[in-house]
Amino acid sequence: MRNRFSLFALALLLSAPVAAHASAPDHYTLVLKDGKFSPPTLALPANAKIKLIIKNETAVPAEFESSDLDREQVVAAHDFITVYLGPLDPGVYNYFNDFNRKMTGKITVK
Amino acid sequence: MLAALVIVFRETMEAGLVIGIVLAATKGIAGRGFWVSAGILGGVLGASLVAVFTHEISHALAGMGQEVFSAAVLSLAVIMLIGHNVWMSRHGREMAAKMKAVGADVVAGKCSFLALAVVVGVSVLREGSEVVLFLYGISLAGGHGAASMFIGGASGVALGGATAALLYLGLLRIPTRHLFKVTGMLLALLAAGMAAQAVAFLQQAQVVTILTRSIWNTSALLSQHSILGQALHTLIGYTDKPNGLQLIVYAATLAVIYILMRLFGKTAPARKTA
Repeated sequence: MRNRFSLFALALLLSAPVAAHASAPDHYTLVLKDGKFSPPTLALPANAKIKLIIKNETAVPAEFESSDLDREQVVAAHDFITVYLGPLDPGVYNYFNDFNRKMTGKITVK
Repeated sequence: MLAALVIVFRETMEAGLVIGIVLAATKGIAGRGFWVSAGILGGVLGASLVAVFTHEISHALAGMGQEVFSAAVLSLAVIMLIGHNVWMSRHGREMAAKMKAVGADVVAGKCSFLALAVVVGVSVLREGSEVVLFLYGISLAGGHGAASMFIGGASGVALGGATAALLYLGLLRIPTRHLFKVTGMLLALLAAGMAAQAVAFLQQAQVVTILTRSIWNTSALLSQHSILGQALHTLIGYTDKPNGLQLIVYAATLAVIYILMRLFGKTAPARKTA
């Protein structure tokens, strides 16, 4: 009980997004919209299995590609894909849309 | 336009390399033009179907449809390559000597070249579906930008074809008596690379969850995503961050091909002299 209370206090002390992470979400989401990925930098925990959902909210097909993550997967227009990652080592992992390489983003693993 | 050219070339280059090897491996065989064309045509049709059903494939098998589908078609190509190599271990010498349809075994020969047609089809299908989706996306965007992108895309396909031609002509410089030995080795390496890639897809789909850690990382030396790295990835299965299971499967595929070729290849010369 005490433990939970102090966790709660800690969560309050820190900002909201950190609090969201403290509760270990079941998946993370990247959205491709208006010509860019959001969030532009996604923070993920190290050494954990991660379920990542990539949504393509544009009208054209996209391809999520990352040599750092060794992934290359097509996402149809107005559709989503599920990608399992990890356990990942801490670091920065870049990715892009192979069908429009101006659309890039990064994942930071801590 | 240049962006479209680069993207399409990257996709078609891989299929081009496979076609180049297959053409060299079937040098002098009657009807190979038909088989290779059928493979390419089947691949293009398959690629279009895969592109149309992207949504369905993505969401099949609890969201792991793309990975499992890739693993399945790659495995099919690996089996075909092993079958062809084993057949060649029996008949390669005869073929090199005669350079004609191999008399009595012409039916078995057809099976073997059907196998290679499937390999060509799988390569075209895997890369082609991305090209189809990319070009479809461009056509949706419309405008005169789309026209120049299409020219870029078409040039990319032409360059992919040129890659096939270059590799083929390069391999033809090898004297005929060594040619099938070299193409056999190239096809074996192709099979090993595809098998390792298939197992990586199964790991991504969480179907296989063992030995997923990378054993080494040579991406600083030669990135798998550079043009050269990508070409080597197709040809010999070069991977800059291979994991334990990929390495085991790569070695095991080569070992299986070697053992089967020794087992089934032996009887051919004896039978010929009889």
